[in-house]
Amino acid sequence: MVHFWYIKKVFWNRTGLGYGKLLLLKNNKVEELKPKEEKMEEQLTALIAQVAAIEAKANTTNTIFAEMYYYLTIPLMIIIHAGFLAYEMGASRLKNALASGVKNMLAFAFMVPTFYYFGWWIYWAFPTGITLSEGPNAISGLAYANSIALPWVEYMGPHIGDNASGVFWGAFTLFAATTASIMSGSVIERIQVVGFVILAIVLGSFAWVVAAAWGWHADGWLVTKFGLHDFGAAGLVHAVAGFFALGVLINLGPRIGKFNPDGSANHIAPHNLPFTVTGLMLIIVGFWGFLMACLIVPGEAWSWYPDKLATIYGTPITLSALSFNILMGISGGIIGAWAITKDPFWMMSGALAGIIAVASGLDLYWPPLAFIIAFSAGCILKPCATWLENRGIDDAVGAVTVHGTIGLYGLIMLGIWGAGYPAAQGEGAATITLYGQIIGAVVFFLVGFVPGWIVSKILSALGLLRVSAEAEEAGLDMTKVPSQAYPEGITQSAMPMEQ
Amino acid sequence: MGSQFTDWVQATGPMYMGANGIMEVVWTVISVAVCIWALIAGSKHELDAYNKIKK
Repeated sequence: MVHFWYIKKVFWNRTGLGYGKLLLLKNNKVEELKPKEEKMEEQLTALIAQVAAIEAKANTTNTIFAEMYYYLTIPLMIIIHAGFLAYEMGASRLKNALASGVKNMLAFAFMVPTFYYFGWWIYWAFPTGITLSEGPNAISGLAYANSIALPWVEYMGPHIGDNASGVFWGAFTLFAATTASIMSGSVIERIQVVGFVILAIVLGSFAWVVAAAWGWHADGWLVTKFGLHDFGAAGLVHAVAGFFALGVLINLGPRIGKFNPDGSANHIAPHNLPFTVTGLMLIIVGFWGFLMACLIVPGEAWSWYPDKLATIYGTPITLSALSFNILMGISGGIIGAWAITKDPFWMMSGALAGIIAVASGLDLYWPPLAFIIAFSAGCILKPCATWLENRGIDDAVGAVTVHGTIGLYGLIMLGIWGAGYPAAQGEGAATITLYGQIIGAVVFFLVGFVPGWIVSKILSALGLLRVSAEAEEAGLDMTKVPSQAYPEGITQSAMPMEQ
Repeated sequence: MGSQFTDWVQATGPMYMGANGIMEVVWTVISVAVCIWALIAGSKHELDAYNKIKK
């Protein structure tokens, strides 16, 4: 049984003034009964501690969510490379299928270390131009890049206090590898593999990175001065890669047998069209990861907002916006290409062109407008590719058209339909204009085409660009790949009417 | 190479081997050299293959 007694005791403090405390004698043990205010203060302190603990947990959850968000974009983007691999191997003739695969794998493999060595540093050093000065958001310039992106600073490796650098670098590395792989398909069946790898490094770890620093960074001069807005990288990835490929193709020349003496072109058919079309669909699957990685997650020290997703420019966006417009873009592109060609190769290329055509404004388009823009891109795709072919350019997979021409088309479309929107976050930010988008288109064309042409010209002079005619005619697999794609051959299917 | 940590609970900062020393630069330079060597060797193999098929 518990017994209670109350005792009032007088205490004397150092000033000599007495004060009373009510004590509770409980089972012969003395407990102090505290006044109401004191008790509330204690409860408040406990509450503050609880709130702090909940806040710490929420912060940890947000940090892990942000890290996981970007981490998962990486395998999604690797699906793009599974797609490019299938696409290029299928688009090659039987005699070159594996050599095209080797080339494709190496583009990816060399992009990772080279983007680690200098690509990531270029992105942070060059936004304000070639002055390497700090931009208005203080997240660019030589000093900043040296502090976070040199390959020997502590943030470029396992770090207990840094959950962001590795996943950001990883996502950007996959952007780089995607850019390099865009060029890869157009040059199949006659380019030397090492010459190609050098070109891929120049494109993926240098040229597009410069374009991204200038037009895909809050401090980028194309953004701050001209209001360029290219949310999904139609210009700075696709157009740069497409026109880089054009510069290379001019020096590389067409495959033997592509053009007749009178200049007319022959169709060199893929050895496995279903594989090629499936590869294109995989590229489209992977692009969901690519576009997902273009967002800035909220609630972190590096975020734009505590409570909403943002574009790389700091303008608000939702994943719902992406869902509406990517899907509308895919379907518009397929239907447009079907309307003109009825050819499954161009229909799947149309899906890609549809996404690229609306990529700059995926955050802003009304979905039916996105559909119409993508549909028009699908319609113009084949005529643009034919126009290029009639000028003696042998683009084996139509990459110059799908990525280059449609990339610029998408960039300019946003200048027409999205003019007047603030291009970036912040007071006094430049607005989107047709003029600014055209400036961006010209810059991206040059950033792609010029290095592609110059480096391929140098490689050609060094004898590192094109394979020998004998090797091309015999087939690259037989010449240099120590395995066979189809060692038992491919049996031709019997047509029912021929049986 | 040893470890700078004796207690993971108290650990902060970089946790990779050879942190805050000269080894980051050394490994970077060696890995660059490996890439360059691979390209040179690959090119040699490729050019030899083209010469072989010419004969």
